[in-house]
Amino acid sequence: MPFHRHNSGKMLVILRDGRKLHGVLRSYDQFANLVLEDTVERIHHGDTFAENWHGLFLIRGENVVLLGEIDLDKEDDVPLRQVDYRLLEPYVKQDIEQKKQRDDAKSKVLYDKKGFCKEGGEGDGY
Amino acid sequence: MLPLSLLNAAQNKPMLVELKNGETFNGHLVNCDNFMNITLREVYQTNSDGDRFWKLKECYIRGSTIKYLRVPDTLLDQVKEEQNRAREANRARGGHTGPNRGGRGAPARGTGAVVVAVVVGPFAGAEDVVADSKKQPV
Repeated sequence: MPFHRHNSGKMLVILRDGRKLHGVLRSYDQFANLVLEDTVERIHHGDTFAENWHGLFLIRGENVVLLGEIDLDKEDDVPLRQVDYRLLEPYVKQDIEQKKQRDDAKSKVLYDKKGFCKEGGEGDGY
Repeated sequence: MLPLSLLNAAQNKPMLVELKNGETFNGHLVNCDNFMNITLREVYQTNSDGDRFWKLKECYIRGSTIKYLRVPDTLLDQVKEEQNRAREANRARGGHTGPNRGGRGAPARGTGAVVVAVVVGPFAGAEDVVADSKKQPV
């Protein structure tokens, strides 16, 4: 049974570490702890994406940045190409590494020259 | 089926726990509580880069450090079935089921109870009473 009768039940969850999970929301509580069924993780690079099957997830609410319903009709219009996960994974890892280096360089300049404080080491990107 | 009830139902089941720092713990759930604190048995710990491993007999994880848990896909169905069985067993014993068990809610539909609202007197005075009570010093 879908989570809500007006939608497919398919939801997108984005976590604080940047992971994007697609799945069917089965339950939640006051902390936004989520139960996600038939979960796949999606990674993106350029105009391609890839999926990795995970299954049943229980996500601790603190780590959730975004929870959104996916419109299956509109999803067909998304101009992205699906490729093999193992093919795309190294590119995505590289993207993440580059972003980290950029962010580190940026925060170093801000700290050294502009009088900013250091970010808490948690990678609080949101 | 609340997320934490699902976790409770996952006792003795295998699961993967990822912490906020990216470390993962693979093992069988021994126990858990409502803070999501958990103990695992026969654990394989992996560092956040996924290139180093440790084997632990048993470990305790504080709930607040958890990012997510991956549980067996079959768990949801198992729990639903268990709930159905419990409900059937309860019904067989003549117990009451449903959301209003023993509560003070409205009587169930179709039980023959009829509520008739009777308007007793003029309500003009009621407003005055409310208005007066507001004037009272607190």
